[in-house]
Amino acid sequence: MALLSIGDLDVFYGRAQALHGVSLEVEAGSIVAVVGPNGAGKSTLLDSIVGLTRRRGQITFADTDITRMSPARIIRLGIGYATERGNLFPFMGVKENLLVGAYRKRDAIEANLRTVFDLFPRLEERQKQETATQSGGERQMASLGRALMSSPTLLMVDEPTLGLAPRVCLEIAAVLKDLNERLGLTIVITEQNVNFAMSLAREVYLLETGRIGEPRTPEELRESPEIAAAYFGD
Amino acid sequence: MALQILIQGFVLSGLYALIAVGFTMIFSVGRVLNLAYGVYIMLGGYIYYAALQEAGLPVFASFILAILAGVTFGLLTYILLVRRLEDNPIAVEISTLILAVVMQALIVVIFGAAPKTMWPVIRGVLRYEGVSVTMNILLATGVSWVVLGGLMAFVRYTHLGRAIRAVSMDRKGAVISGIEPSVISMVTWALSGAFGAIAGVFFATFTQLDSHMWVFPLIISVAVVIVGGIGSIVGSLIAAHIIGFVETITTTLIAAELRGVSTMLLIILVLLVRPKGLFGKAEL
Ligand SMILES: Nc1ncnc2c1ncn2[C@@H]1O[C@H](COP(=O)(O)OP(=O)(O)OP(=O)(O)O)[C@@H](O)[C@H]1O
Ligand SMILES: [Mg+2]
Repeated sequence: MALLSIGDLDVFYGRAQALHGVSLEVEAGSIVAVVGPNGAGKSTLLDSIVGLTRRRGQITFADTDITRMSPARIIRLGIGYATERGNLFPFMGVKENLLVGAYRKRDAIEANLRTVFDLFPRLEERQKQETATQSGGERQMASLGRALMSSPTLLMVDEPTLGLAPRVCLEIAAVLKDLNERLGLTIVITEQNVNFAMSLAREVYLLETGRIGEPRTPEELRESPEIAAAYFGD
Repeated sequence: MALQILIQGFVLSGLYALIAVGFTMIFSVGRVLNLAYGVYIMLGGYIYYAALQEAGLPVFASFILAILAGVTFGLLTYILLVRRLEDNPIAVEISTLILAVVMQALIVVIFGAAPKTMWPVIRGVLRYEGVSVTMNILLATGVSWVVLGGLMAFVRYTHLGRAIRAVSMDRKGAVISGIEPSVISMVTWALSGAFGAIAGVFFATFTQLDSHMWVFPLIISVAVVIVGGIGSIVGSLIAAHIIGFVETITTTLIAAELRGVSTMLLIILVLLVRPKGLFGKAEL
């Protein structure tokens, strides 16, 4: 059975419906990407998985129905979430941010800190710096690091490359690949950058104005004419 | 004269810092003004009085009862009112103000309208170079420093304290770290009630017990938030000292009747010049 499975998910902001009958499956050990333009509902989808929106449908994670659980309980089941803006604690140092990430997982703090600092040596060098003064790339690293501090089985990253220089994107991609291959972490990312998504994921979902398609492999995507027109420019 | 201002300024500021800390905490974490905060102070004073001077319990036990009353009332304010109105700060402010007025009436019903004089927690007067201060107010200042120092260590070095700061800085960030904001709110309101009650015992021994004694501490607390800006404990501490010293200087050098007025003027001045407060940032 899939590690994460979403069936027929509807999400509302007030009266406006942001997601329409979205279904998605994530096998344990895989990397899945959800690709879509601005306003498609990518952030809404990830927020909904951890229970932050008003939603209807069925979401199961690790054989548990989480559709009606509180966010903190869902997170505790083993989901790490690096949000679009990071949602770091601006007037805390980098290390303190990481420690808050360990709020539910206090028995592995030293080991997890080691893992995060090995992945991002910059964070270790500047562990006392307040995240308010960090660069965008450093903040992305801190946000990923904080998500890893709870020893998650599923890592969700909302637009990991947003606003980052190509070199930093490559760095982040390498880290995500490493986490998946070496530690067996299951990963869901959202992206506008379809090339970045295809370089990581074996399965890519297209999301547009709140509606999702069937998953496709990068090869299928390259051959599909509509996609080529919409995303690669003809 | 200078020495007198210095000493009185410091002890008064210490008391004000103690009064305000429970109020600023709530404001940092929940972004609401708890206008019933003065009630925790009044309740602390009255429960301590009833336990010590009417029931004849020892000082320590009376203190514990006062703190328990503060904690209980703080939690009740949150669970019965604030939690249900959380998305609407104005509703919280109106309803907590009403709660304060109701409690004032209740105090009159239970204890009568006549003011009561409390015994000092400890007796004695310290004289130095012609300046005299009571041991009681010195103890209040000491307690204030211990409480604030303890709170600062708590929010810096414990997981729970860090979680409180996390919620005050970024609620969503805290939630996705597995923190339950409602639990954090309960802890904050309980602590706020406890700090209010402790401050109340000292405030009442410093002035006297009466049913509208909740107003003045509330004004001091609001002033500390406005002068200090949202958040940092150190900022509130400095703000309390600015307010305490401005008051001591005006009452000593100009006229004793101006007590309180200087604080009000300071509030307006800061609002005009620096609406975010002197040390405003989002940290606790
Ligand atoms: N809190 C909110 N209240 C009301 N509407 C919202 C809210 N958040 C998102 N929306 C709306 O829901 C839709 C989906 O937004 P969402 O942020 O999920 O898109 P996205 O794919 O993440 O876009 P982007 O690439 O710009 O981050 C948009 O139309 C947006 O305006
Ligand atoms: Mg988004």
